[in-house]
Amino acid sequence: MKKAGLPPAAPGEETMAILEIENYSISYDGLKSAVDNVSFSVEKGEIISIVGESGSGKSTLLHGILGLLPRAAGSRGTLKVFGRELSAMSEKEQRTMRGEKMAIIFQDTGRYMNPISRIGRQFSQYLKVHRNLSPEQMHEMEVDLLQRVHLTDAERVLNSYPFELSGGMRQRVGIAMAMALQPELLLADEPTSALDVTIQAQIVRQLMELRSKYGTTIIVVTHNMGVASYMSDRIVVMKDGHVVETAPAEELISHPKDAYTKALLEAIIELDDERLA
Amino acid sequence: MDKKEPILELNHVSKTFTTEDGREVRAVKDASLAVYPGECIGIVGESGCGKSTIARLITRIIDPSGGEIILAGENIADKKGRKLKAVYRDIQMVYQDPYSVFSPRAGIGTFLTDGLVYHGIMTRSEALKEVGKLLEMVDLPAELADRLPHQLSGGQLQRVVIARAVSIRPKVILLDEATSALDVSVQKQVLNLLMRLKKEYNLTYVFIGHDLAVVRSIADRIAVMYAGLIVEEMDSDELEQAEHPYTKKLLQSVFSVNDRNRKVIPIENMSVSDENLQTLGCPFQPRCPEALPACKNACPMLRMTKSGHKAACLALE
Repeated sequence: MKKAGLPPAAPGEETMAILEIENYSISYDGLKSAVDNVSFSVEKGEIISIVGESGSGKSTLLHGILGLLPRAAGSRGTLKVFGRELSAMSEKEQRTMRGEKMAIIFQDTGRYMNPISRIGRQFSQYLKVHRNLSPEQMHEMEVDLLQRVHLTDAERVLNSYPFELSGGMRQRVGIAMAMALQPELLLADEPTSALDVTIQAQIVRQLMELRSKYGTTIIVVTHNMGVASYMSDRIVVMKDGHVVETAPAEELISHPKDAYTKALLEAIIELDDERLA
Repeated sequence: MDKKEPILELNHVSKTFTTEDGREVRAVKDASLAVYPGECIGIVGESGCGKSTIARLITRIIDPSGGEIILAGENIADKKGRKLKAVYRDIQMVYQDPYSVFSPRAGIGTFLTDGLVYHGIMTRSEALKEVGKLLEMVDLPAELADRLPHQLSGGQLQRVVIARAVSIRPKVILLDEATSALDVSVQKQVLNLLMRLKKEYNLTYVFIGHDLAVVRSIADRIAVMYAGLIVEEMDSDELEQAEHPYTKKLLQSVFSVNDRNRKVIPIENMSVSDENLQTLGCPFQPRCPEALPACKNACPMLRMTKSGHKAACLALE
């Protein structure tokens, strides 16, 4: 968190690293790499943003970290989560790790929900996989988790179908579910891109609150430089599968080194810019 | 600015949809707006606020439930059938997703000339001779004319759509989230192109979007919508001095890359009841930090405020 400069893992005191990626590549059927020779690490309690335009490989990388690449994809290099090589883990170990130690929030959580089943039922199914609780205990836990993400009438939310909630509320349900087992690492794939700006601001605040309250390490994939700049300690910029620049957020914004990062920042339209003529 | 006659005017336009179970949804409520020749007016708001419904009303794809839509001095609100064809010539539209407006098997040249042919401005063979010029107008190489849509990028396709819209010299071009699907670098190029064309051909734009910074960058005036109502209207340069509580909240929610002070965003509680509440009063009242008791019972009208904006808010009256 504190150190500046490019951090391709100094293996000395990396015991605190939650995620270590070194010379990591992902390609589909041996074609051109979707992720090409990427290296960076994430320390405990950090918020990292991976930014880039569409097709830059940022989401593919996130799926690689989760161990959820399609079968046609092959990966090379080192990817260590919590100090262990992901590819050396069995399917079962990976499954336990997802959920218990890491969780993900998608762009539109609603699309990953069963449309004809109430929120409460789906929440309980998720808890049942990982915890042995009585129905009452589960209900209590669900209400508590929803209230923590500022959904005040939790009972009603649990009784609702996904379509009855707004996008922002569904996203908060997604965060509550992802946080249910207190994962150490939270991955978020464009968590605010489907939301309106006022709601986006709320979800960003919510994610930051997770870190300050529970010390959760968060990796956010986003195309929104403003969001990345606001919430993260460090920013990783990707283009065509490569990492072109990694730096503490402030440094990257104010003194970008790479030409692509500069162009990207240049293209962003801001409220206090000159209007186009 | 020296105000001429508006080229397009909405007078108390409303649109109500009826759902299958007979409920009425008022998508646009009593909207009034004037668009002057050669200007760009921006409409911003969040999803579901009615901005695209306004677009569909102006282009007369749907019928208004009430009010007048005046295009170049003529009310087009109740025109039907063949009489609408002239309206379709005068108002062109550019949508968010360029891929969805192309037939996958028709070449770019055919697509570009369809407008000219349909409106009887040229025959197909005459129009095809213009294709190179039209492509050049939007900074694309003339040889793209023989390509198929899937061979072009999203940004290139959007340029083609814009070229077709401009080709028939409409009175108004409606841009509905026209740059929202594009990557940032491409977005800026397309916005610059729109500005250049506006000057060259003295075009009039209605630019609809959800991104306040983007809309402000291109629009001369901005109308802010919330829940079917236009809640504030002002010059783009005065956006920072917005008065309506909703506009202020919007401004507060925009993340700026340069804002390293991390402006404070208070966390709002959300509940099911609030979201679905249909109130008699101001629709923003449940979320409004400045709400007065009276806001629950009366829906405010758009009025001139002390500082010369138009705003619909009881607290500002």
